[in-house]
Amino acid sequence: MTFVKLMKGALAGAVALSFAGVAQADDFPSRGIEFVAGYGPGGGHDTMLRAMAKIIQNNELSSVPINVVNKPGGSSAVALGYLNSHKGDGHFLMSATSSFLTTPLTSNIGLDYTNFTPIARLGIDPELLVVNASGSYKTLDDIAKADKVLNVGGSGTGSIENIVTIKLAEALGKKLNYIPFQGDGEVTAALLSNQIDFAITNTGPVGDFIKTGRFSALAISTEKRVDLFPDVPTFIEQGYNINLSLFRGVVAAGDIGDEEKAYLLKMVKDMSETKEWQENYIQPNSVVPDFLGPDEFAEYLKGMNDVYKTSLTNLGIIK
Amino acid sequence: MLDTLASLSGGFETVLTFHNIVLIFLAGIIGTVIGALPGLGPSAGIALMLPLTFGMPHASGLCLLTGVYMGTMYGGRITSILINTPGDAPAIITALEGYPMMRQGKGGLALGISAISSFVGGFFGLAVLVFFAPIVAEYAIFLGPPEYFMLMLVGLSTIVLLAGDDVFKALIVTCFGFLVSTFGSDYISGHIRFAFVPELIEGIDFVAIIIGLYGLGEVFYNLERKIVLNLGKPNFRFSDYIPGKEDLKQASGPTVRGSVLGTFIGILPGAGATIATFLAYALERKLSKNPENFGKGAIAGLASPEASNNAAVPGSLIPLITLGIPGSGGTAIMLGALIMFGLQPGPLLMIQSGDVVWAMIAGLILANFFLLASNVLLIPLFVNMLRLVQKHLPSIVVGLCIVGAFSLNYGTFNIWIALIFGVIGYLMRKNDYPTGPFILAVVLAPLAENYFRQSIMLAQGSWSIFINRPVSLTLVVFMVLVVCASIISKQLLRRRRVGTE
Amino acid sequence: MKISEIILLGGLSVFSGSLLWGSLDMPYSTDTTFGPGFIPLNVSIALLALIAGVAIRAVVRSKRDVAVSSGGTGEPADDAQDVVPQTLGVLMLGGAIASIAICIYAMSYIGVMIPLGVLLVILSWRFSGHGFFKSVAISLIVLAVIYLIFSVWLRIPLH
Repeated sequence: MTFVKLMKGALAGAVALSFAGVAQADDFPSRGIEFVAGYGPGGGHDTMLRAMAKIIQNNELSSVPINVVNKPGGSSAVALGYLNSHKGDGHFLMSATSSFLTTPLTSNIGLDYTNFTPIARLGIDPELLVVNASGSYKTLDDIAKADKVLNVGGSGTGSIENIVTIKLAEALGKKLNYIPFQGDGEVTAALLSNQIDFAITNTGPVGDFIKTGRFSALAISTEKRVDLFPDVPTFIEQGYNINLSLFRGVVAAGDIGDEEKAYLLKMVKDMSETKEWQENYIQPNSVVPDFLGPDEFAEYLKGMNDVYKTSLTNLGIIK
Repeated sequence: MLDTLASLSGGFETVLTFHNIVLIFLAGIIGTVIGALPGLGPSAGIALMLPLTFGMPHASGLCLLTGVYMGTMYGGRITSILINTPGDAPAIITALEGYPMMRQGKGGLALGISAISSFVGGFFGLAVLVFFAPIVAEYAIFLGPPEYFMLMLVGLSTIVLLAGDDVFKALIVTCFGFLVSTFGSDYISGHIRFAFVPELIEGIDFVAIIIGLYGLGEVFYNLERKIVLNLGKPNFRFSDYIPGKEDLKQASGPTVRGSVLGTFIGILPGAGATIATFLAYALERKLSKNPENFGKGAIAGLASPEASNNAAVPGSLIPLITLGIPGSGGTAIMLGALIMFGLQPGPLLMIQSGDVVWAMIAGLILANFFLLASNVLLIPLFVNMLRLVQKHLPSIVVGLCIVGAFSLNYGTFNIWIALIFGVIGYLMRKNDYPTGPFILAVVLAPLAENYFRQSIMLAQGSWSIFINRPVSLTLVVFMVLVVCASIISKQLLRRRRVGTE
Repeated sequence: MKISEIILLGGLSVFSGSLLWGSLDMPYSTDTTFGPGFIPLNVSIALLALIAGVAIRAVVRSKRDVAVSSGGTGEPADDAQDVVPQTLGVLMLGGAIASIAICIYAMSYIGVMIPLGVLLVILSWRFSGHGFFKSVAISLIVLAVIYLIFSVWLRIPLH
């Protein structure tokens, strides 16, 4: 079967070659593909890439072995530098989440998202507006009408939760007091004990509390309602134009050939359509699958980068 | 109560198969070894064992991970005591008393006492986990940033106890610790502080600092002086390693106090085992009749922190399994593992997958017994092995420190950090600058800073939040009383001295 | 003051001075509470002040010691006795630190194992006073154990 795979690969390469006319292409991939995780073993990037690698290999979606490599350090700055040092080589695929945009913006590493080749966005992590069910706010309207400055919990300043809060404050025309916590767990604890009035958080850590009725979700930050929470209305349908989520995607090194890009895309796309991916990654991690190909992903990254850039500038974090 | 016992025995039924027993035993040994290696602690141990658990039944996989977690707490103390290189952060305090004992030729005894304290601590924590987990967790979440800030202040105030004779020097290293802790991204403001190179965006790794300060610093210090450890003659007689009645009596009170403290600090999300050891040490020193013995091999100062760091393991599992809130680096990775197993951590975990959780708890109880047995039985091996390699210790320690620092981030950056702090540690030791206050400041200063800012933000700018909340107010009053009491007692002492003169 | 203490305090002064400089760029306070620049700015000033304090104290003490020692205390004499072995010790130490630094530098290019092996041999042979062949043998054993534990068993990429 490997022979057939190889033949297929060679054929695809040959076809692509005739279109693109680049000489090096017919031997791609010429060795194992390296999946680069910007964080250590056990972290979100690492687990996503390992899940992907396992599914790709189980389903023989790649003709060469796949090796997950951890390049932790500097909120993925080290991995960005590593990938950039392999410019033009398609044998590397890196996981990209918000730090892919924010780390270049907030530090001076001399790189940004345009130095890399977007391959695909695999899914998004929507943001929920969650209140403690025993509290006095039952709808977004109650929040709009509250006669004091409300305390909002979320993760660090400059995070997507912070930006959603800022947009909400603008839309409501009222001041909100954003309190950054370290990690989702602390936000959940603060909301459980009513130390904050509501929280902006992604779905994973609060899903069970919503199911058991201790929390209720008043709005979700996606364009349309999601299957995970069919009863939760979007901000948009309640009249607040907020459509912002975290993304999980993969990017390759900059300046790679079109065939290399096409090969990686096909591999990742086929992977994302397997049942295993849905069952072993998407569902347990409460990710909303929302696949975007290279061009749309690039467009999306540009848009998100602008959002981060404006918000971080307004917050005084970048000049 | 009966329900609980029934669930627990259900858990034991799952765990007591030949396969699982062997697995738990191995997990304990693996954890002990990983914990003993400088640089690799609970988080790294769990993360590295994670791939092995795929394909195992969930209960077995979780038993493996928690067994490793518990094992690292036993393991950290071994290198702390034998070569003054804490295997991981919760074992730092162990080195303060354990290594002096080692140099007095009582290393085996130190290992024996700390193994027993570890066992008692772990057992106490497990008892709380079994019987009170849901209740305790519901109360623990009501503590927020103001209370945590007060707790960190209590912790920071113990700098006075670790200061040594020269207050100036202690203050200098404390300030240095504060500054070292400010590196990297500050999630409260979103700014990145002092990232001269990209690796510094996440701050200076605390474990690289202790590898340098204690491990390499000690080697440098010894290289200059050629100190030979007093290891006595080769000895395989067990009775010399088993603590006697007198020692156990000395250790019993501190062990119990350390267990209680460790469990409750462990439960608080955001505190964790390292802080528990600092507070336990400070408490013992405050209560001791001979505080001048601390730092010279005081059994109380060894037993209590060791009990507390093991008690913190089951403690930190409580918010994880009842609420899905991880309280430490190790449990954060456990959370990831639960998700990968398809068990959704959160309030429904005990309801939907109670059998698996109870099996894990049963496995942890079993692991604690295995760990006590193996750690006591292995003491002669450790001590004699050390005797065998003593002449080559410098190169072995340097080798372990370098590879340990490398494994923190799979790069050379942390080895540089360790080397720099090795030189600093050597210079500090040579000139009698205490390392305790420095480490304490590095650990607690960022937490204190962030909890303070969160508190003020929660109160929307008002400072009254610290006295408006009952627990926080209690802590404030407690601290004021302690300060007053110590001032008054000093005054009394002075007056008495003047009187006798 | 001993030379080593001067090095320590000098290094700390440079360190806190550069953080002081860096913290001037960061906000000192925010709407409700203090900003990211607050702690670094204040603590680095405090550290500089403390170092100055210790330095002044040392100068005052040494003046007093000179006065006392002319009266005949033993302390300076002790120092003199230690000078020769101390210089040797410092040289050894400097050499060891330099070899470690070179070894780390090499690691970023060719992986951990080979530089570490060379370093272990040098440390054991030149700095711990073992014979060359014994050093090589011991270093190989240590290296093998490290390789087995970290690379084979824990699968940490050492090369």
